[in-house]
Amino acid sequence: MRITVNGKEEHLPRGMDVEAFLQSKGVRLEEVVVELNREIIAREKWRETIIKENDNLEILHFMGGGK
Amino acid sequence: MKDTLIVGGLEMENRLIIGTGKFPNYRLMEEAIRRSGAQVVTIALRRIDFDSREENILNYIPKGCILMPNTSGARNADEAVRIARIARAAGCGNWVKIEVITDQRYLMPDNEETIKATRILAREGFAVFPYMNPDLIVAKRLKEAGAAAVMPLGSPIGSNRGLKTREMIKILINEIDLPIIVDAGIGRPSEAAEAMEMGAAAVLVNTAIATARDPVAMAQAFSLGVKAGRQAYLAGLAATKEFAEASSPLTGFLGR
Repeated sequence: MRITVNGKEEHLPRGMDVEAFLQSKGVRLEEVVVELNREIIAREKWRETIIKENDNLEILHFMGGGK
Repeated sequence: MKDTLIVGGLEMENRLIIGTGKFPNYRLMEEAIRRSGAQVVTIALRRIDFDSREENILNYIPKGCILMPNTSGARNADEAVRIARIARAAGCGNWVKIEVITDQRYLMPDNEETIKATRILAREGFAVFPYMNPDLIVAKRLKEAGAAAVMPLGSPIGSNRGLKTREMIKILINEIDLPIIVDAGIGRPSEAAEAMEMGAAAVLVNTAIATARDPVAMAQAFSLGVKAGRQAYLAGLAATKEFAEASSPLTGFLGR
C-alpha cells in the first residue's frame, strides 16, 4: 500500500505498526518523534498503531539550530 | 551573592544562551557549550533523513543543560504550535522558543502570529520564549499572552551586525516586567556586554560563535562579555557628561 513519509511516497506491506516501520528504516527509536496524520503518536502507542493506506507519517528529530 | 535569573520555572546562573546551528561539527559545539558554561541551548526539529546517519545532537549537549527547542520553519501560529507540541512530545521539557518567519530576506519575525502562538502554548503549560521585532506594544501583548520572557532581535539573524535596535530594546527593558533576552544579530562579545549593561536578562548567540575561526574560544569570550556586562549593570554605570571633569585635583599646587 501507498503512504507518505516525510513528504515522500513509500510503499509498504499492510498491517505494519509504527515501531516495526521505524525499525525497518533503521531509525534509532529513542531519537524520534512521530506524527501520524498530524497527530503525535506517543512512544507507548507505536506498537499498537497500525499504518493504513494513504497515511501521512512525519518522523522528526532534533538537530542543531539557533540563530 | 548569587545572581541568578529565574525564568520559565528554572534558574540560570550563566546568562549566555547558545544556539547550536552552524557549528563545524557537534564535538566542537559540545566543547563550546562546556567552555562557555552556558546552561541553556537552543535546538531545532527537522524531518529525519533516512539516507544519512546523522549523529544525535542530544548526545553532545552537556548534561544539565536546559533545552530550548525553537519553532524555526514555522510560517504562522498554527505551525509554531504544532512544532512546539512535537518538541514537547520528544521529552525535552516544556520550554519553547517561538520563531514565526515568513520574510526570507531579513528573516524578520511575524509579531502578530507570534503573539497568537504564545497565547495558545502558554495555556498549554509551555514556558514560551517569543522571538520578536522589538516593539513595546507587541511586548505588552506577549506578556498578557503568557510569555515567560521576551526575545527582541538586535539585528537580522546571522548578520553579526550588533544592537541596531538598541533604543527599542531599552524601552522594552524599562517597561516590560519580564526578562528581556536579546536574540539575533549579536556579532561580538562587546555587543553582548553592551546588551547586558543595558539591563538585558540574557543574550542568545549562535552564528557569531559557531562560525568564528575558533568557536570554542569565542564561546568563552562571549561568556566573559556577558558576565562583564551583567556585573557592570549591577554595579550601576557612572553618568556620562558633556565636558571634562577632573579625576585628579588641578588646584592648590604650582602656585595657582
